[in-house]
Amino acid sequence: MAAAAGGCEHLAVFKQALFQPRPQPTLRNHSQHSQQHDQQADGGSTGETTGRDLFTAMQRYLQAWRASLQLTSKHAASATSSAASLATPPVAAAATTTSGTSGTSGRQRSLRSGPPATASAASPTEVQLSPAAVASKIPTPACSVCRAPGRKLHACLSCTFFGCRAKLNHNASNGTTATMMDTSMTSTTALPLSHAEAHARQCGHPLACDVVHDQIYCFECQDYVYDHEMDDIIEHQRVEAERAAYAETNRLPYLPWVPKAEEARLISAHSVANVTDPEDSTLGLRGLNNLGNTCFMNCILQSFIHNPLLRNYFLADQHTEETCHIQLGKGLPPVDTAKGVQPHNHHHHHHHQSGSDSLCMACEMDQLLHRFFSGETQPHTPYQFLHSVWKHAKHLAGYEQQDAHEFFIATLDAMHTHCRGTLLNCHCIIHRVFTGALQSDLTCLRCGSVSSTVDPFWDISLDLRHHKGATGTPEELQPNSLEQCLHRFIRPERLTEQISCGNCKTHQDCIKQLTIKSLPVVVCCHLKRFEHATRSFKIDSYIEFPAHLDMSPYLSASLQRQNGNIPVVPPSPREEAPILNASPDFGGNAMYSLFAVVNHRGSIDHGHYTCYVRHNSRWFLCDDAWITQVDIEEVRESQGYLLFYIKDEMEYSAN
Amino acid sequence: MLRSSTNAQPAAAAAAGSAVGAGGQSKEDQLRSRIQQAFIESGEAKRIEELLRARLIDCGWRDNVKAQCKAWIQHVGVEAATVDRLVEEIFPEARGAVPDVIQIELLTQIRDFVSKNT
Repeated sequence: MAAAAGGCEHLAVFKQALFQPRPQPTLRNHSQHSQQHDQQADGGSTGETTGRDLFTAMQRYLQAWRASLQLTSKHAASATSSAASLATPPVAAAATTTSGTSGTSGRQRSLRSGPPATASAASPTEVQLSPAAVASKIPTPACSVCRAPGRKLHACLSCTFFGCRAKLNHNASNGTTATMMDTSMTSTTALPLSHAEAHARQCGHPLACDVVHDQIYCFECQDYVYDHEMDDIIEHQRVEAERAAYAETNRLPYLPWVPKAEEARLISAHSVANVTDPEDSTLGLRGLNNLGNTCFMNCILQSFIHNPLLRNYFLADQHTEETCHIQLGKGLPPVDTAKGVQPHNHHHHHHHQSGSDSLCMACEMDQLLHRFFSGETQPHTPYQFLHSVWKHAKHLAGYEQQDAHEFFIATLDAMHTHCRGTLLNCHCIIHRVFTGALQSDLTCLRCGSVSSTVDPFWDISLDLRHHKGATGTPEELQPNSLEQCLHRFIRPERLTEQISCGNCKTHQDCIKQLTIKSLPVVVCCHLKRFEHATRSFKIDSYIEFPAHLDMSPYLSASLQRQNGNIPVVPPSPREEAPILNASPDFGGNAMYSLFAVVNHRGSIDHGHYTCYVRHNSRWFLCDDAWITQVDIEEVRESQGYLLFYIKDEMEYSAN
Repeated sequence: MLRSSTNAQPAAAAAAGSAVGAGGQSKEDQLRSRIQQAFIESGEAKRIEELLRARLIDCGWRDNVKAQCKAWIQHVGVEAATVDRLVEEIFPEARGAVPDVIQIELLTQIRDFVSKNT
């Protein structure tokens, strides 16, 4: 601020030393091997430490350290050591060339225990370094004086000193008053100097680099100084360190994207100025031809395509044929066993015969989304998707009419399996989008003990009719809104059969209650319109559903908090623990917005499926190949079979 | 904006010019720096920092503080403004404006980490 680029003379002097012409410009080398080689050659031939060596070395060390922090997986070990070896040689070369002692005490020690302030002040090169010690693990930088790895840590640009620039609290407490101007002027004399500043004054090293933010501070200017060329060096080192650190992991390295000649040509040849308002855009809206009673599939596919999370996932190329493990392993024996995933032999076996067809439902979804967003407006014919469905869900094969809900579940299951899904702790896209957890509490009416089980769910199936013997208010018996259905869903129910109670050791009357322990990002509410009792029939009753749904009343945590007649007995201390642990999860907003509605018209034997989808902020009716714009009122007046809601506020994940 | 109180203690020793070795520290200080180191090296510090950043952006705190900073810089003039003076001026109020919910959330997580690592 005070000293903009070029304003600080110390930085100018430093840069002059930094950009001195050298025989071999080491900064531009990309391979780790040649970098080491050059650095060793430099250190050996000239035998002196220059500002550039120290600066690049320090940057390498810092960036490698930062990159190594992010690696916690097993892959980290090898990557860290390679990052360390990248960082080490220049530091070692720079600092040991004028040091007579052998490298018995490593950089690790010098950083952790810190050299005494006086010794460090006498000569920067008294810090001894051992490449082997550093290579074993990149140490955390810490203040050379107080050893705190805390905030405001600065690395001296002239020697290997690290110092914190934090104010010394016990004396500075009176300095934060209104006379701020005075304190900043007098602080140099009245208050004890920070460790970094003390070093800067003692040794005449005016420049230091913030360890966290890579900003250069000048103790003469009393402010940070800014310079484009220095920023470039820092950026280059950051890229190098990340490249080395992530070489062993699956994560793609950070690389600036520069189009190749061919790509540049394609871009300029095919780019059209985007003049349409995104709100008016119809890109992504496309009809689906009916392939003979396949409207059940079409409406589910439309709900997938207009699911913002699935759309973003596939359009961002998170799953492509090029990277798909099933496609890559085509024709080879299953490779999943090493990961502990059960290979699905029947799939692989089946695909050997079917040649060119896609083996993976996620790849099919990827292709489908790309077809929808290709700009083509003619209806799409999803024969390939249908073929894959037939192969993966045999019971849906043929041109019979099928249940859309059954198809929905079968497709989710196939996509989950093909995304290397495991049953527990699955992080596939399907699980991240659709999975919630349902808690089932069984309360024994004799002793009052509660046994709870938690199960994952992909959708909430809601009864529309009362069962024999059920009691309650008229709304509960015959719900006429989604909220009433959900309230009925979580209502405690007296079981007709006696259940074995773990506490009483006998069969007892029990009360069962379902609640939602954790909410999925996308909630699919399935209204059970098709009853298959002694006689199959369809329930055509009208169920009102809101455009915005609050799910918080149905959460386990909020019900426990209400402390009404549920649970029947207050939970024992043992039961209380998980509730307390769980409550922060529900601190967030549980508001959901409707984005797709699947409807069924007709009777149980034959009928037709249509789907309403929200596209940007407008609603459209997808009836196979036909797409028409509609009002939200029309959507809400429809009968509703499957209702898709998406969470309004996504929680951040720090990982 | 996590305040690290650890910077304060050994300053007296350093100011007096004496070397601060491993033997010169009290047990409490050793424990503290060990936890602090584990906190950083496990990546937990980074994770919590990211979480804090996300929460502060989410609740509008960052936008408010940014507006205050801009106003202050315009008030004193770009040439006279320095980062240190800016921090001194804005920090106390901005620190107080962090919502309690966020403070509690982070404190709980940090406490969890400390109790797991002692």
